[in-house]
Amino acid sequence: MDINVTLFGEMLTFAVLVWVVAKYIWPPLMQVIQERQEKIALGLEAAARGQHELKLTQENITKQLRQAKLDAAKVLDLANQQANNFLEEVKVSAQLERSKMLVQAKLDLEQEVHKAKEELQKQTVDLVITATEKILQQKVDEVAQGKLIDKLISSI
Amino acid sequence: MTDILHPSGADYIQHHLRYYRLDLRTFTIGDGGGFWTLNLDTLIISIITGALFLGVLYFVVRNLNSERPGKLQAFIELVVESVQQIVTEIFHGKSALIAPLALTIFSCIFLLSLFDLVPVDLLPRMVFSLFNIEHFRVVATDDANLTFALSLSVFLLIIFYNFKSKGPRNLTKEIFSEPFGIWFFPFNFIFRVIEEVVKPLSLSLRLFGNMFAGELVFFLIATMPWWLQWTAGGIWSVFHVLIISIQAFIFMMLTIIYLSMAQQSDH
Repeated sequence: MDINVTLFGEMLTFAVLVWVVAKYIWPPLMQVIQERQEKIALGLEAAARGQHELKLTQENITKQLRQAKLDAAKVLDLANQQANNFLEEVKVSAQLERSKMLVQAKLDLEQEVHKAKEELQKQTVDLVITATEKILQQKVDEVAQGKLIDKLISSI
Repeated sequence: MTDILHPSGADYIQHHLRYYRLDLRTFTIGDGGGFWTLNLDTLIISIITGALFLGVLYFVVRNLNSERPGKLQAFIELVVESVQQIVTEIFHGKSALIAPLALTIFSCIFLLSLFDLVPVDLLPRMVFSLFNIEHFRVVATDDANLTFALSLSVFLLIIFYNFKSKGPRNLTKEIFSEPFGIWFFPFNFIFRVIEEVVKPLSLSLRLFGNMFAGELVFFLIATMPWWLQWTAGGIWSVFHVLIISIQAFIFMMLTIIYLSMAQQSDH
């Protein structure tokens, strides 16, 4: 361990090394490192923001979905109600129609019966009248009378 | 085992502990120059390593890519970022010098000490066969000249930061009046001087001691029979990697802490 001029030689070497590193090596390296750090920080921030937005969107979607379901149920309810109402209306009107038709039919029937009765009456009267006329005109002819009566009977 | 690179036993270790020296007074290779001697091996190894270190960093800096960094760039960024983080945590002041200084200290000590893990005879033998140089020590960090060069540079920076942050007046006042008050100024002064001088001494001697001892153990292992060397050598190598990293880290941390202390006004 003897100290000699090498000491100063080494000090000079060391000084040059430090100077070069401080002047030419350190600044660009630190700059690159800082750039990358900033980039990473920005990236992380963007990722956090994206996640936040995703969460918001998901919440929004769930909300909208729930609302849509509610709306659909409402629409369905309304449709059901309308259908029911319509059915009810139709039923009522059909019943009304039926009863109307029934009454009409009864009326028609009665009229028909009445008409038939009248016709029958008229025909009977006519017949009687005709028969009476015939009987009155052909009193003499017994045979003819008998034939006539047979004819009448068969024509009734 | 008795050729020039392989003397036996204690001679072997003695041989490996000799530097490749240049006598500056006569410009001849060899010891005996006293203070005016250059340890050429330490200088050459550290300059080459420093140049490689700068070259790799420069290559990376030239091809910087902030979008998709390569593996080397990612690794260097990792180191640089951790050093920067340590400095920001400890050093409360603005200085563009501290972090590069810390990185350089750490990397240089680590890289230079790594030569310890190269088999002890490999590089000296290569140097001998290529350049016919008899003594060549490859581990620069176990040359006290290098460790003291580092710690004295740090010491100069400590003085510089003391003056820069406090100014001559406040600094003089602080030296003479703390910690015991102005009436004990001789004691305060002596305390302060001891405190400051101990810093570079402990820095360099710690590193030197660790590395020297580590290399010595490798020399001892190399004198064992060849079929036994791998056991102790393997274990010691693994252990020594740990020591190297820790020593480099300690040197760096203490440098940052000392400079931070020098820079803070309330001592």
